[in-house]
Amino acid sequence: MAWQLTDYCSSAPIRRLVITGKDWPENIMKLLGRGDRDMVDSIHKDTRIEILLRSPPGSPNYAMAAQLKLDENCPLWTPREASAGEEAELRKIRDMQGHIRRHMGSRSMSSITTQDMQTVLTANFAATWSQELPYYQYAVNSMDQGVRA
Amino acid sequence: MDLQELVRTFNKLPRSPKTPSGLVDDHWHIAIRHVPLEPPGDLLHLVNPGSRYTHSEGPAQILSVEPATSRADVVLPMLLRSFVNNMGDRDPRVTPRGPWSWGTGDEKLAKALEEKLKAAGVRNELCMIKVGDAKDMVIEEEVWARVFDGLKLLAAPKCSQCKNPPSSDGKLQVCSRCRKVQYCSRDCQKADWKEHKVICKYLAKDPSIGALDYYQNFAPHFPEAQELADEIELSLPGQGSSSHGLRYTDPSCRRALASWHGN
Repeated sequence: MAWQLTDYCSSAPIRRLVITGKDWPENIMKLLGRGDRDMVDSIHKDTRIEILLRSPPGSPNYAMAAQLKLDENCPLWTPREASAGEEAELRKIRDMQGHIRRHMGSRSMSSITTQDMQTVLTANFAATWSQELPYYQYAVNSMDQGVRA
Repeated sequence: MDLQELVRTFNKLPRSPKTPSGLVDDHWHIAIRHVPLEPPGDLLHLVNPGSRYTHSEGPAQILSVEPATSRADVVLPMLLRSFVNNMGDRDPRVTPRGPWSWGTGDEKLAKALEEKLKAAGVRNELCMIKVGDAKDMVIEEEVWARVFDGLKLLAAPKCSQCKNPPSSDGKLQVCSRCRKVQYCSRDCQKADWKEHKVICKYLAKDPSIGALDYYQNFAPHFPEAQELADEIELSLPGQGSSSHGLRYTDPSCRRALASWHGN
């Protein structure tokens, strides 16, 4: 079987299921079938965190969702509560946001650069910085950077 | 699209020194990566070092082609196509953009590509390829390692229920009805049946359905999918909304560069 670069994607149907708290496996299968299960599971996990973070206006996550009208006609947000594992992930992301805010000080978040990323990660996590990179990405993209929707 | 048309389209793409987010330079690092999976092939791997946004084009046979000028013949259309096709983003509202600059760690390929770019009539500013930026090369290595890990995971056979590979002395057994999903044991198959039966009959009709195909072509025709979509107020494809598709992109990079699409 030929391999394909279909390992990553983002998905509005999964997002909508997560937002409405109906992201059960059988519902995901009703909309996306049974194929690409690893990919779908990975998107589901990613989307859960993104939604549970409730990114504010001005954040890249918020701007992207608005621009792509991902939440057009969306009912009230009623995502399922975070599991213990998700809660731990969210805590790490919020801690990371604290590190970023302290590092930025009085500078605007809109001026954040990859140099800031390197400094935040290496100053706070030394040799394990690469393990923290995903949390940094979640953190920074769910913070208000003045990104226009 | 033949090369001439590809070049014409590429030359018309809007460009700017920064990505639409304004956060990072719109510079792209070019690398050719071999993927020793089945069937083996090479990918043109593009990375925007500032955001770590990644895109791969291929597979094709590239590294085995000699000399470098012939390799450049293979790479040139792939390179231009990546930008013309908007890095695979199919959302019609996101305008494709040309790069502001590009570079590579492969000096021979850079020289050969520069000649091909000039000969093909690509805009002058992009007929120069920066060579050997160590920082960009390190970033590309890191990004590629992650992409390759994902490819390996996809390529490896594993049990649909427990996700373990088959034990050293055994093979995975396929569902006899749909022949799409595989299990390492009878117990795993039994445990998965409640979920699998929902979809088994459809997969049996076409076992090659991926999530994207299913969502776009099958779900709109199934009452249970329609009922669920109505409940969550989601327009299924073909029901008057273009915003509810699947978009292929690296989620971690998407997060890092979310405003790429947003502006």
